[in-house]
Amino acid sequence: MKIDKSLLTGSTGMLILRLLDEKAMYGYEMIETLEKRSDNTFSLKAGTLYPLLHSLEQSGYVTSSESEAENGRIRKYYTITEDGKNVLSQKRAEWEVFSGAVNKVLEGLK
Amino acid sequence: MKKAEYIDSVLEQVRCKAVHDPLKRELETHIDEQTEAYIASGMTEGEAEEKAVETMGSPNETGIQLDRVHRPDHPLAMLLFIALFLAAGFIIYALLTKRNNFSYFNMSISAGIPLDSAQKYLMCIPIAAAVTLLFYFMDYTVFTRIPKTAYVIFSAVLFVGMELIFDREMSRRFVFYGTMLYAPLMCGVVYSMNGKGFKGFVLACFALVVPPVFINIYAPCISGAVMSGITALVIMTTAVSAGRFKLKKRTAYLFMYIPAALGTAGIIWVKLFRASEEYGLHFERDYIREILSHTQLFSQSGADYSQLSSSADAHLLTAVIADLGLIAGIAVTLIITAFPMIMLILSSRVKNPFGRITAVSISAVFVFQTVCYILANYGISTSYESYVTVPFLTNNPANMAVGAALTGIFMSVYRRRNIFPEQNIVKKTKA
Repeated sequence: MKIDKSLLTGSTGMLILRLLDEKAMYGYEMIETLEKRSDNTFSLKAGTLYPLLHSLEQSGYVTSSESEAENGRIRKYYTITEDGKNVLSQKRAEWEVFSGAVNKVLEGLK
Repeated sequence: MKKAEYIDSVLEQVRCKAVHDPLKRELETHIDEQTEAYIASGMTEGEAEEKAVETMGSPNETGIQLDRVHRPDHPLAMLLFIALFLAAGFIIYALLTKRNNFSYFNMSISAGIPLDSAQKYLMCIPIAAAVTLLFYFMDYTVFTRIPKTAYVIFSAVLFVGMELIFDREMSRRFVFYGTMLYAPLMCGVVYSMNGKGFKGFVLACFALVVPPVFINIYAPCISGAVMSGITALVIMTTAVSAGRFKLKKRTAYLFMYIPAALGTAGIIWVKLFRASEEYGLHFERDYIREILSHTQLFSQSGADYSQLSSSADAHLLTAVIADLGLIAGIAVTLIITAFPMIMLILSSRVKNPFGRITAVSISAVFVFQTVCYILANYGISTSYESYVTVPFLTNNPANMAVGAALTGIFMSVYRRRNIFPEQNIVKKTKA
């Protein structure tokens, strides 16, 4: 089923922070993981991901450091900060209220 | 579209050149990883690269978004404030020089030229502007390049310089101004110890405290010793709270604050109260109280303050209250208090780790100076170190230059707060 991408608007940051809450990741790894976790529903473009990551870093929600992988490639790993964890739990709570309300309305229409 | 073409198109949109290199590395790695995955799934190298670039999305849109994120942010309010500060400073010096009946603000020989206080201040304005702008446009992450070596060399220069200057007062001034400049160097040292455990934390504490405090006590320059101790404490607290060290935060705070509190209390008791009584240094405080006891709201009290220490800038506020009235004094107090307050507010907007520590430490230096200055000028505390002034309100060129340098570094941090946070300071470690 084709999903309207506007449904995801505003929640991508939360999803990224959730991924980083588990472990530090680099951009490509985030896209892959997000795709797998969502059964290919969320296919994030790199062109969307990097501006978002950089903006999260400026807000102090993630930090980054470059590491050399075994294949010699320099990967930039992003790590969630304490502030990022706080924002994540706040966004998560908001999302639960929001999605619960949407579900209630939809169920009422059945 | 080829990889290089895509990256060039993205970078074309990003106006801030400082982020181009790290951005290029990041995008290149991403495309390479994706290309590799497509090759593994059976595509040819050419097909794989083209497909990988396609999945990146529109280079123009990406570039525009990245440009929005990485735009330099000029602290215009602060630039305007400095300009107003300098204008107000000149007016104050000019008024005091004109109205003063005493030799305090009259002619003195400066570098062989006879100048009054207002003329000396006027001479300092281009110095302030040039030094501020020089450091403003400098990349402040330079302090992370060889932090430990720079710190050791700076400490050695300070010590040797102090020993070489024969004039005792000049030597102490030199040490105090040098100590102000320690702040960004200390930040570099702490930043280089990122991720260390308790041992690293203890080492950083000693590295930050021992050299400046030792040099200042040896000088002796008690204000400098206390200022460097406070700066070190602020830097370490900011670093610990941001999780720069891997340790229990509470243990770290106890380790820092118990000795800091004891040390500060000891220094205040021995040097500021006991020593001042022994050497009659309460004279100045009592003299200021006597001057201020005649204060008028709007007019000249006529009090004679010609016996204050020779440096006019150290007691400018007392002179303003005595000669221009209490209301003018309160206005000047508000202006000089607003400056470090603005810096503290701006510091809270800087999120990247090194920038944050640097901004907070410079603000701490100015807060310390401002508090000491106000307390001394209102006759609340004893001050016998006449070089403790506030930035941009001194007519001493060296003092003006040091304050301007720190302000310039602070503004450089703020300007770059939207630029890649750790662009030049990332360390490559094996994954």
